[in-house]
Amino acid sequence: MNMATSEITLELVDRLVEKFPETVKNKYLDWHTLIVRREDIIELCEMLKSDGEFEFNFLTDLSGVDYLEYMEVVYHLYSYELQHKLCLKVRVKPDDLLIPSVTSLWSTADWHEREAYDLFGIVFEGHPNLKRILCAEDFPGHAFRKDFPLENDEEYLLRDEKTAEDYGISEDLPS
Amino acid sequence: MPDLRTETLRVNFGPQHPSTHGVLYLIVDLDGEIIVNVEPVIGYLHRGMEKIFEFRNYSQCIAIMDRSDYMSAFFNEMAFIYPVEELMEVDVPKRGEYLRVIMMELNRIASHLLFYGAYGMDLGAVTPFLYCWREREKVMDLFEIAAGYRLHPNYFRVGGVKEDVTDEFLEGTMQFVKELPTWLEEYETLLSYNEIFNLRTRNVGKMTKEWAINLGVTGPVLRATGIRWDLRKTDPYSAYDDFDFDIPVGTHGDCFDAYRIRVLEMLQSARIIEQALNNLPGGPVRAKTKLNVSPPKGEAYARIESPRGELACYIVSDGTQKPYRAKVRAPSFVNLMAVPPLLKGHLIADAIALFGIFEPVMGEVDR
Repeated sequence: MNMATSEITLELVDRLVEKFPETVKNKYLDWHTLIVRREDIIELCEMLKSDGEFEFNFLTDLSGVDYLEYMEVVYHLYSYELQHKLCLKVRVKPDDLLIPSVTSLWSTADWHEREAYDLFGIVFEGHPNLKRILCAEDFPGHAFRKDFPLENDEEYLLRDEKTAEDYGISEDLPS
Repeated sequence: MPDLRTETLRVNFGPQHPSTHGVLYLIVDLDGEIIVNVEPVIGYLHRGMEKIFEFRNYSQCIAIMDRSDYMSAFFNEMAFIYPVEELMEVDVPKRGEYLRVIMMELNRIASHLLFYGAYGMDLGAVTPFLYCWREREKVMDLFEIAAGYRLHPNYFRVGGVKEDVTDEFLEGTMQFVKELPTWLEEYETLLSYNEIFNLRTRNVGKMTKEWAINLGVTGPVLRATGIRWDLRKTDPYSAYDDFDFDIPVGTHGDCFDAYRIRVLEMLQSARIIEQALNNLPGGPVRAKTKLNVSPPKGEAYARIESPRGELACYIVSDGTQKPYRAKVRAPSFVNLMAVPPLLKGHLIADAIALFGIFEPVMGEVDR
C-alpha cells in the first residue's frame, strides 16, 4: 500500500465554498486552505467528518498564530480512508477572542485547544476543561503573543552592573 | 454488620517518580487499587521553545529543536528542516538524503533500545536496562564520529547534512547493523519470553481503532491496534522510497503488541541501513544554499515518522531569517492525551504498563 496523501480535489473544495458562502479559498504549497467564519466552523467540521466524500477523521494539529491585527487558529485535517488533506483557518479579532470548540467532533482537540488558550488567550466555547496546560496556573498574561517579551529585558541587560547587594545577598562568606 | 464507608483516594503520582518518564505528574483517584480517574498535569519542562524560535535564525533553531525530543534528535531536526525545504523548493542531493536516512534509522534503533530498557525497568525488570545502554553506547560513538556530538548532534542543515562521513563511520555502522539480529535475539529472551512480563502486558489496555483515530494517536501504538499506517510508506519523504522494508502490525491492541512492534521495527531499521550503506551514492552532501536561509513568505506543514509517532512542524515564514511562528506537533503530547480514557477500571500497576508503552518524552510534550 503506497498511496501518498494527496491534496483534496478542487471540486470538493468548491462544494464546501458553495455551501458556506462566506469562506475564502486559499492554497499554500499542496494544502488547500479555507478561511472560515467562526459561526460556520462547527457546521463545516461536522460536514467534513461525517460526509462520505470527505471523511476527515483525523485532526492532526490545532495551532494559534498571532498576526498583530488578528489572531488565527489553524486546523490541519487528514483522512485515513480517502487519503486527502485540508487546512482550515479561523480569524478572530484581538478584542474578541472566542471560537467554538471542536472537541465534540475530534477528542484530540482537547489539549491543543488548552495550549492555544494558555499561550494566546483564545477562549474555546464548549471545551470541557479549559484551563492552562503548559504555564503555571497563575502565570500573568499569555506567553506567545507578540507583545509578550522573550526575556525580562531590563534585568537581562543590566546583569553585569548589578552586584550581590542589589539582590539582597551579603558579600561576606558565612562564618 | 453495618456497611463500611469507602471513598476514593487521591494519590499524587509524580512529578518525581522513577516510573514516570521524566517529569510527568499524574493525579490518580483510586478506589482500592482500581483507578477511577487519571488526570495528567504537564508543563514542568516547558521551555518556551516555540517562542525562542521567533528570535533565532533557522540554523540556530535546528540546534534548539534537537532538544525537543531528546531521545530522537535527528527526527526533530528533520521535522524542522523538511517544511523549510518544501517552502524553498530545495533539491537535496542523493547522498545527503541517504545519509539522513542512515542517521534517522540509527536514531530509531537507539530510541527503541531505550524504550526496551526503560519499559522493562518500569515493570520491575532491572537487567535489560543496562544491556540497552551497552548497545546505545555503540550508536552514540557512531554519532560522535559523524557529527561530533552524541545526543544533540546538530548535523542536518537546510539542503542536506553538515559534512560528509568518514570511512570509519561507514564500517562501524555496517558492523553494528550486521551484529544487531544476534544480540536482539538474546535480549528478547529477557523480556518477550519472560512469564511475568507476559502476564503484565498481555490483554492490558484494550486499544481499539476508533479510540486511536479519534484521539489522534500515532506511531507504534496505532500500529498495535491493527492499522497499517507508517508515514515512511504511506507518505514517503526523503529517500524512503528507494528502500525495501516491512511494517509490523499488531493484532490484539494490547501493551505486548505495542512492545513487540518496536522490537521488530529495530530489525526493519537495520534492514534499511544495510540497503542504504550498500547503495550509498557519491556526490555532494548539501545543496548550494546559504546556511542562513531566508525562506520566501508563506507557510508549510510537513510530517515525518518519529519513533513515537507523527512529528510535524507548521512553519510560518515572513521572508526574514527568523521564523514568524514555528509550531511543533509533538506525538507524545497527543498520545499522552489519549491515555486517561483507557485507564478507567484498570489496576494501578496496569497504569504504569500503559503509560510506559506510550513512551512519552517530556521534552516533546512540554517543549
